[in-house]
Amino acid sequence: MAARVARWAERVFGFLGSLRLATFLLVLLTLACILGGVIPQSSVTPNADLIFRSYGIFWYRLITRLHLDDIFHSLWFLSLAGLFALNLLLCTSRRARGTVARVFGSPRFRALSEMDSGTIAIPIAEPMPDMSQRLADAVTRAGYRRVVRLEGSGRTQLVGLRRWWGALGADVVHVGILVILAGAFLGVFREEGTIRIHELEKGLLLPACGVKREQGQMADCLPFDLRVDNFGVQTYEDSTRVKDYWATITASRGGRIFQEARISVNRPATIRGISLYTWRYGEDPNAALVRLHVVDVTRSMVTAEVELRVGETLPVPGLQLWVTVVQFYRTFSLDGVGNPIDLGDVTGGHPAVLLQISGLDATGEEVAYRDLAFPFLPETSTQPKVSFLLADAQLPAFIDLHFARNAGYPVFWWGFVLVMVGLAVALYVRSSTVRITIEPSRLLFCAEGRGGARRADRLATDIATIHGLGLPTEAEE
Amino acid sequence: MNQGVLFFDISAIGYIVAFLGLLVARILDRRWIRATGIGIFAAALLAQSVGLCLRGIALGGFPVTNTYESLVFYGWVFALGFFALLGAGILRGRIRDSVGIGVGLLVAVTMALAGSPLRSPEVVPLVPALRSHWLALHVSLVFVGEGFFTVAFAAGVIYLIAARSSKRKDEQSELLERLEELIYRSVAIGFPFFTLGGLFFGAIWAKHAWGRYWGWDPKETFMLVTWLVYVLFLHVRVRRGWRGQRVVWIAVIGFLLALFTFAGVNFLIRGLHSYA
Repeated sequence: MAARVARWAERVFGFLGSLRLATFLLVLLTLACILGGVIPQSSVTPNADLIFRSYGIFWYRLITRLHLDDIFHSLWFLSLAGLFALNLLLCTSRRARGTVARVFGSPRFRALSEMDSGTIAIPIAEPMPDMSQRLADAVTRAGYRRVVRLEGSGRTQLVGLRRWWGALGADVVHVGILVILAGAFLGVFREEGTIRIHELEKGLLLPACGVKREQGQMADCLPFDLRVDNFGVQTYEDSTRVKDYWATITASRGGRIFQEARISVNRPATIRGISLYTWRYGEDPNAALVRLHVVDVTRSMVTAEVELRVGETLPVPGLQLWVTVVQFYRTFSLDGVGNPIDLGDVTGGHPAVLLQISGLDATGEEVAYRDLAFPFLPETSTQPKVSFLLADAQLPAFIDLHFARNAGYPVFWWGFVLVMVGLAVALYVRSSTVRITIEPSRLLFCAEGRGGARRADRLATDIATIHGLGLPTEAEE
Repeated sequence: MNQGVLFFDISAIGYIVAFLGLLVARILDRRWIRATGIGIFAAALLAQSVGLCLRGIALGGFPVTNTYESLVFYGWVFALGFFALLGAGILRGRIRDSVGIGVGLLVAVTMALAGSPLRSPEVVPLVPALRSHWLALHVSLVFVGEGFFTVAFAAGVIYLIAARSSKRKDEQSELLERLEELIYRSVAIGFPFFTLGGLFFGAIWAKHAWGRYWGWDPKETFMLVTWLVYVLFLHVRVRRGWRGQRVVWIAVIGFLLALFTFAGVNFLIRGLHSYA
């Protein structure tokens, strides 16, 4: 019973570590990646959900139920990747035993019948007393750095090994990939986030535990207080094209400054294990400072002026109304179903603000409504007496700083190094073995692997020439 | 600023003439036509190299910052890959002629695509993300890898055509064997370059620029797909001992995916690499 279980387990492990399964998984992973590359992924493409809805209900359901909208984080893809890692682990561990024995162990005596075809023979009268040593020297001179002397069937066999460590290449690649996968797994526990710094916040100390975060999963507190001393955008000479954007930062703790740095695109800084990047820059419509003119519609004149930021609420001078700026649109437009949208910086576009107005109107009646204000048009509400005009808007410059801490990075890089070293060894280093068997009346030369017959013939010819021996011929049993 | 364009135009004409010359030499079996074809091929490569140097100087960096430059560089690496294998003595006799015709045609097509009115040849200052020394390492090594994949592809197409021809069996099988060996060697040389430049240097650069080494951007994903296909090629050939058309088809598909990763993803799928 135990033997049967062991046999069964061996077959299962054999299959799980087999090249057949590896081939099958490689094909499946390739197909999954093609799907993930072609179908917009919600983790990469903004508004991917809207794109799927435009395909129709059937495709929308199919895509969302099979998690094709986020393939690379779906259970089925991760299971495939996990199975691939297991396959690689089992395959590597199984191969490793053979490779270690081949590379670090002693070679085995081989009889002529076990040798590759193309074995060359040189006739000799009788073996000289120091022949073994002479041949060993000749093999070393031919570039076979390691020479092992074996005895078997009453005969001496010299085995010369050249670049014998070349057999390790494939295993090193496999180990490297496993290390990369381990690094990727550690990356699951990474911390990252983004903070937005506006122009007015330059020089302000952002306490370690009070940093507002736009997104991400950064831990509640950074290991330092942060101050963004300055930031800006650099353009090319005589051009408006952006060359770089940068920020100078100071990290401190308890008032003690321990690092100052200038970060820019491609030049991040790492402070106490956290890397900081310049992520985005621009003018922030969500922090716009708008100036509104209050217009008395009946008299067609501006009666007051209000200046406030998005999200701010202020009373309207001379009236019993309060106004809140809900949203600023750099270029106002309407989407397909009539909702207002911001098209961003568009030449010739018109800005607008969405206002929330509340309080008492001229008749003393309580009102609360939303309204749009444009630079030159009267507001579109039904409010008869008061209208708002967008006189001016200032968008503060901002820079987004990205924070990231990932324990998987160093593991990942070591994996890269192993894979590259392994690939170079596996594909460019050709290990070779040559065997010389000393028989009573002849010397037998055999070289293993591709081009073995040619190498054996060359070595035999060299030795025959140097020692004045007979002509090499193809060996017979 | 259109630095190097004149040299690129000259080289494009050179590649077309070289391709036609090698084709005629193959049909008529004339040595002097073959020698002239290869000479023109080399001259076109030289002109293209001069153009790339001029452009690099004007740009103050590695000239692979837009589709025009990438296509020109892509073609340059194809041609360089051909001459590298020629110099190493891997390409000989009929194989040399056939692969020369295939590579010549591919380079001519690449240069024609670059010269199309849809691609602006103007030198444009780099966007911030591209201002990095990793650009040169990442792109050049990927293209070096793909240059060798191109040779494998050209040899693969010739293999598939030859396998269907009705020539003498013994002569044909020797040709097919040599072509298959060429395909394997080309992939074996190109694969580490592709891996190092495409996946590893790309990941290091992504970490510097975007704060993460891998983000499943479409370009990254298709780079991985191409890599997986070549991994499959190496495994089934080296470990499982596959030979013949099956393994040649994998090399052909691998190159088509590499081409899609380079061009198709740029035009069809939007992502972080859309400026490429």
